Amino acid sequence: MLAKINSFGLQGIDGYSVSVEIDINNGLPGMDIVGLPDTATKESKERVRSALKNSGFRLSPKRITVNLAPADTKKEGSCYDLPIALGLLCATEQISQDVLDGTVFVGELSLNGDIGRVNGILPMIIAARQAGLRRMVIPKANESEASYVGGISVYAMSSLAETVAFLSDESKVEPIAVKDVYSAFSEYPAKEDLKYVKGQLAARRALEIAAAGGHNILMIGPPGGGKTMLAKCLPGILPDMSADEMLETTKIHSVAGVLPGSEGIVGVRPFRSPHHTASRIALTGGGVGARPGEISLAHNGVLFLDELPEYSRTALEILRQPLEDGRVVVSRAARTVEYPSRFMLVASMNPCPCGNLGSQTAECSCTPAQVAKYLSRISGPLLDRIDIHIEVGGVTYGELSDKNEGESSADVRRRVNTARRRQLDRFDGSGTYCNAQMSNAQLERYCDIDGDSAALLRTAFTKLGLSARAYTRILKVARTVADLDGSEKVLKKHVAEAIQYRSLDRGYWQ
Amino acid sequence: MTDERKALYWLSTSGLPASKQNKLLGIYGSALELFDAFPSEKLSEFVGNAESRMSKSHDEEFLDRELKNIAGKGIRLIVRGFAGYPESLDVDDVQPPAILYTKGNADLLLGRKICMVGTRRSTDYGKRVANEWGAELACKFTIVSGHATGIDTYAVRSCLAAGGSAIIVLACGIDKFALPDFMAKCPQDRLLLVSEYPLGTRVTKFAYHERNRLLSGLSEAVIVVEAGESSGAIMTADYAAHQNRTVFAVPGGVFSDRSRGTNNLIRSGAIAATSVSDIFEDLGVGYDNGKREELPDMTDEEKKVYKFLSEGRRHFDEITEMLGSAPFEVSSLLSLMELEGIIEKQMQNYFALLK
Repeated sequence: MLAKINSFGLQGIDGYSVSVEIDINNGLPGMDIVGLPDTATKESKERVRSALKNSGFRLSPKRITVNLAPADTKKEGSCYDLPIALGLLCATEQISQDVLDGTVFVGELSLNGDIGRVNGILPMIIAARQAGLRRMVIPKANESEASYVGGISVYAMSSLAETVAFLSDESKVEPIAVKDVYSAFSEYPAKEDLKYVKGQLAARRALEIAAAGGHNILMIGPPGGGKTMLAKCLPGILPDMSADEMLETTKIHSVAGVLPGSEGIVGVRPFRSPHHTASRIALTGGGVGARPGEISLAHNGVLFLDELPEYSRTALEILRQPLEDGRVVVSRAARTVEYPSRFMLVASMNPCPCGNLGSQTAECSCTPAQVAKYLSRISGPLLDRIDIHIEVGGVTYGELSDKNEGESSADVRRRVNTARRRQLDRFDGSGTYCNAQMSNAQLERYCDIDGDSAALLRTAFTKLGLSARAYTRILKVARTVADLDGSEKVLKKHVAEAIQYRSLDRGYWQ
Repeated sequence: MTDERKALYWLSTSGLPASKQNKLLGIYGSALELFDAFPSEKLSEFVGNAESRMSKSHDEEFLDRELKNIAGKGIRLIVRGFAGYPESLDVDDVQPPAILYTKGNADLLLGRKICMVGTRRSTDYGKRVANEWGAELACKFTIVSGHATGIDTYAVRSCLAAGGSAIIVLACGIDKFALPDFMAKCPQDRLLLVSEYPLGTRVTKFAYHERNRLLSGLSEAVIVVEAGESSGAIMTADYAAHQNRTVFAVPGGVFSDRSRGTNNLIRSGAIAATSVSDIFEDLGVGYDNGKREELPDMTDEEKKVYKFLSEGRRHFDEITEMLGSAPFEVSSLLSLMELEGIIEKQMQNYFALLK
């Protein structure tokens, strides 16, 4: 007797249809799983056997063959336990094939028959809906992330016995209610608020611009200058996520198995801060299963690299492609997958090895050669991709009067949201979400500056020793400054301000 | 052998320190006499290891070939006792080298020269002094300095950038020195490289020490910008005092270890240099003060900033507080002022009037 069950697997961050076929023959008792299963999938037979027995079903001593089609794609993980168990029941005629048709099953089984959570449910549901399937059974533990996709009835089950009862109409179960994505939205529980940052007016402003336009930003300053503090404030002023952004990011987090349990969706922009010992693989993703790395987990959010020059050169250089293309291609022997990785890079560094270069209170003990060597750890091409360089530090607390009590993050965030909405309207439908992602064509169209501003830019290049690569960066930042100002056109004053944010391009560093 | 110059060249390639070379010349009266007397038992005792080198090149044809070779490389030899040798060097106190290997405009040796030196690991303060004074001194003096990073480089670079000329005294063979970018790019008639070491000589610590006497010897005064307690710059100042040169030291903070040496110099009698006009006055140079360009028209806000900065440099936050405007307006304003050439941005968000 042959049984055929629909299931789904993961390829990158997209689900693909896997058909679980089960055939029972006479012969030496045993179970074989074919179709390139990995170890977790192979071990499925032990779990399925016990789960069936402990759920009160019988398993006759026959020769069982399980095929996971398409047979030439590697299958990973334990999500095929449930379809295999149901297929066995069907093949042994304990349930009928009719009730299984048109339904997708995904889930891991424990030995007592409970269904456990699996990674990547959200992309699988989306893929199932696209494939035209109408019904899907998933683990109860994955219920929350399944509740944001409509157009398909999803049932959350907690055990094998419950599933069988549901299929044979002995019990009535309601599909998961579909929730609005925005219901998951929540204020980011920012650890730090900008109002506690004293002074640092230039840096605060730069941070606001970076958040509004999604610009990569590099903060340079002495130790204790407040770089990390400022970076920690950033999540609190980032603009709200759009529904598309939330789903994209949730897909990745779902595949990586790092979704927050309660909401089941990523409702706030992720803020990832890998330690500087992080390896290449940890950043880009990879490993046997080609899992998403930190840069993909930061998709639509922030990747914070504290003490940038301390990261290994190779780790930094691989950031270049994702920064340019907004995606990373991970190739492994088993498979090649593409993960989206459109993140905002926030980095901090000291001005020199001892950290005191340019300080008013402490002396720098580095030679110019040491400083040059330190700065050279960050390659030009990487600096190319950072729109804003800002210096942090300089004035100590006591020097500023109290009336400089800073604005709160909530106030800044309101402005950032307004500016971001302008950008979303402008780029509507082009796949660009913010100014930092503008293509050259868009740059030409939306950053049209008048002759006066162009003359100003030219002066800046000759006078301040700016490098040629600064040109597009300044224009993009000027566009964001104009958006924050509520201006349709990029004006001279916007360009003038944008010029301030190119510290590292300036001659005085050498 | 008939040419004293050739004999002196032979002596200079011996690798003996200048003091020993001069002693030999004192004993024999001239290099020619020495050349003819070589080799002798008495001599070999005196010159030690250098003897093999001296006997190797103790051949007139060989020396002719070498001299031709050197001339082919654009290197000019200036020989003591002959035309072009700087007078200030030709004193026994200095231990003058027999031969100066030079590349560039050798006429610079005959003009007024002032030496500016300091630590490699300069602070922002020292860097600023070297940069600003280097440029100001350029109008009256040729700056004499070394080729180390830090103060030496800042002084030379700013002087060249301001249209002045500079003499770099090397501690290695002239062919072993690669011109840094800013020197390679400046007009070559404003630059002179000087070395007392034969071609191919590599830098040694001793050579640096020995070279320092030439820095002061070539100059009428020495300015030490920043120096630790025992450093090459202090050594140069000591040589200068010994050679009867005026020593200026730039006073610094008492807690700064990079100003300890200069402050010590002032304690022991050096002149505290507080501005270039003081230095000019002490050296009897007329200083035509204030040919400042007319400032461009300024808006009221710009005038406020200008007035504020004329008291000294200020942080971005202070300027913002003074103006009472939003930071983004201040950013924009400062950018414009910077591009108009009124102010300059310094590290860590400080702004200052452009000198």
